[in-house]
Parts: sequence; C-alpha cells; structure tokens
Amino acid sequence: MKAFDRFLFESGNAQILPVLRIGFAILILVQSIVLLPDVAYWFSDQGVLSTQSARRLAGSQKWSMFFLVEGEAWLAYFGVISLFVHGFLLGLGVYSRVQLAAIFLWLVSFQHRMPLIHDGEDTVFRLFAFFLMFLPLDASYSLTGFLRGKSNEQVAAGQLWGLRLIQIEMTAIYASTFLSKLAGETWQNGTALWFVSRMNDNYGRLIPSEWFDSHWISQIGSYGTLVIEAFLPIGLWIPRLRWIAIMLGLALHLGIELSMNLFLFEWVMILGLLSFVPSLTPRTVATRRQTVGRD
Amino acid sequence: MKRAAIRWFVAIVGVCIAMDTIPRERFPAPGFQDWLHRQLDRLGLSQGSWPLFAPNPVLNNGLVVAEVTDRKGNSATWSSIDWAQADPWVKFIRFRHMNYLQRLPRNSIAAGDFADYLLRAIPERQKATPSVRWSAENEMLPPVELDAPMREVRLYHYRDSMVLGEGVAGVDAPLPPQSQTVWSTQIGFLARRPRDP
Repeated sequence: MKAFDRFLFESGNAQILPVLRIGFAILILVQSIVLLPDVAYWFSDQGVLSTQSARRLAGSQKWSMFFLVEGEAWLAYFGVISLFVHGFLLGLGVYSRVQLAAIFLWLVSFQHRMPLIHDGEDTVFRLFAFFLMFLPLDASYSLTGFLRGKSNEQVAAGQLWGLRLIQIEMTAIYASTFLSKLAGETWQNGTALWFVSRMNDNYGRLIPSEWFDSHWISQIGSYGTLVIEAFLPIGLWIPRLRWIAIMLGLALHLGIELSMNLFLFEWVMILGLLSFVPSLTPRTVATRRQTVGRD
Repeated sequence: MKRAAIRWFVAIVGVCIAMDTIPRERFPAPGFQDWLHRQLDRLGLSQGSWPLFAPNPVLNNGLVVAEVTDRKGNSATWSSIDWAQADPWVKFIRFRHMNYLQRLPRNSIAAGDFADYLLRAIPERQKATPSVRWSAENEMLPPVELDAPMREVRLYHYRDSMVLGEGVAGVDAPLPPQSQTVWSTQIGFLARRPRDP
C-alpha cells in the first residue's frame, strides 16, 4: 500500500502540466478548425450518414448528443464551435476542468455519431480529455491564476495522480501494438515497413518510399520499431532509462510523422510521452549548470 | 477517505484500460473482454486494442467510384480523390475524408447512406457537396450535363492490390522496388440506390 501511495501521491512532475494543457488545447483547436467546413456533411442528416444509421452502427450502449436531436445541422455547428471555444479557453487556462469535461462530451458525441472518420488517435484524444480533468492544470501559466494573483501556484505531489492515468494509457498502447505485431509475419521477416511504404494513400511526406526498396533499411526499420515498442512499456517506468525511452519514443513518432499522413496522431502521442518527463528540480538544474560551468 | 477513493479509482481505471487494450487473441477470456469493452463504451472510456500496422500493414489504396444516371438516361462517373496523387496538405486537411473513404467499403450501412447522399446532392453539386467537390481532382470522365433528378446511383470500390510472386513476400520472392511494383485493381460493388418513384 505504501508503494502504491508513493506511486500515486509522492511523485510526478508539476512542471509538465502547462505543456500538456497548452499542447492538448492547440491540438483540439486544429481538430475543430479542420472539421468546421464539413460539419453538416459528417454529423447531420444533410450529410453522408443519417442519424438513424449512426444509431444502428453505434448500438445501444453508445451515446451521443447528436442522438438527442434528430439530424439537425445547427447542433453539429454548435458542437464544433463549442469544441473550438473550450479548446481556446483550455489553452488560456480558464477553469480547465470545466473545459475538459465539455471537450470530452463533444469528442464522445462526434466519435459515436460518425465512427467512420475517427480512428485510434481520436480514442487517445478522448481518453486524454478525461484523464487531464483530474490534474490541477490552472496552477501555472493560466489566466485564472494570473487574475487571482497566483500565476505560479505550488502544486503538491499528491495532486498529480492524474498523470499516472495518462502514463498507464500510453504504456497499454505500446504494449498492445507490440503484442499485435509479434503475430504478424511481415514484422517477423522484417518486410513490414516495405509494405507500409506502399500504402500510397497514407504514405508520402519527407521520407521517400524508395528508401525502403533497400531490404536492409526495411529490416532495420521494422525490427527497430518492434524493439522500441517492446522497450517503451518498461523503459518509461524505470527512472534511469526514462530519458532514453522518451527519446526513442520521440524518434519513433517523428519518424512516422515525417513519412506518413496520419493527421494529429503523432503529436497527441508525443504529448502522452511528455507526461513521463521527470521533474527538473532547482537542485538538478543547479547541478547541471555547475557541470556546464566546469566544462 | 479521499486518498482511498483515488486509490480505488486509479486501480480500477488502470486495470480496465489494460484489459481492454490487450490484443483479443492474447486475452484469456475474449468474451469478458468484449463485455468490458461495451461497458467502457457506455462511459466513453473504451480504448480497444491498438492495431496500427498490426499484425501486418494493410494496403488500403483505392478509390470509391459512383456511376450516376439522370432521368434522361445520361451517365456520369464520380470518383473520390486519388489520395496517392494528393499532396500532403490536402491529405492533412481532408484526413477525415481519407479515413471515411477507406472504411466505406467495409460498412454496408454507411455505403448505402453515401449512395443516398450522392443521389440527393449531385444535382446541386458544389452547393450540396462542400467537401466532395465535383471538380477535376475527383472526376474520372469529362463532365456530362446531368438533368436532375438523378435516376440511380451505383457505388463501387476500386481496390488496388500489389502483384507479388508466389510464396512469402520478402522470403521466397524478392520484393520489387517502388518503380517496378505492379498493381492490379479489383472492382467491388458497394451499393445501388434508385430514386424513389
């Protein structure tokens, strides 16, 4: 029990909170701006999927605000504009928990109303919105704090347990994808990235697909991905290995970002990785400055 | 008291996420995992397993094509954007469209609704189709003057598959370089919608 309490209430990095809040808010703003021109097309009966069909796809267990009002376009516009406004206020740090609750509500509603346009990254967005609600995000660099005259409020380690939820989520994702890939013959024989580079619809940014014509590049990339995804669920939790794991995770996601078009997936995953960044305490910073000074 | 509640909350959420995320084929009780996933869905907290490029990357290159016939019998063909030719900016701002059109062939309910949508929207074109534009970038044939209302829409999936040698690719047969990759197109029927009399 003591170990579990230490895990929840005596560790965690409050310095990363404004980064998570502002980063998540920016991604929500981008999402809502991209959605806005097509709102009626995706989420109303004027568009490509009727509310009746959406209900059939969702089944009885899924809920959505769009199931309350039959196919109206105004609700869809209201939803996306609300998402933008809540994202904007979250970025400013105005009652962040309230903004996140509203963002969660709208994300669930959009995803259940139109499942065909959403994918794994949207699941991560939805769960992050929920987990971030449990963190004191207005404590620093927030408008609320500034107006109260407490622009950098001290956060007790006991208030940071919400970070653990994000970290558990990230660990589960990496472990799941590693276990799934283990069963794939293209991952076993090192040709997986060759096939990924032939996904012409999604592939095609800065890293040309011709690079993977070389069998050894394809093998290094495929096995390297497997090794990193196997290492992350362990390395991220071991303090001595944490920075290595974060850097490898960043390299993995930036590599995908440079080669594929997966919208905001890599950026929300990078945000999740940042939840593992250890605290740079004043002592650590001072020690580093001294070291640099000596050099 | 508060700490005890947090302990329970984190433990329950953590265990649920872990169980929901384990790949189905590796979970000892798949029936229970399905039940748990449904319960988490009710709360908006489901995660599910993470099959990005797993167990193997799935090549989903292709087009959605609609054959449209107007009331006078004139035919025209509409096709979705050829994503392979689109630049990264188009792929970014229309990423939702790419997702949608890649999944449409596997979802008969949505395919039927899309055919309905085209039947309604085509006479009005730009006005009614702000995002699936009837323009050079997604029109397969030269435009034909269509006379509204449309009589029928037939929807097809043109799926591009790679032609590889026999055996396990990359093991028994070498994988071809990009310039020599041979593709074949399979046409699958998705939906037909006649206009109601």
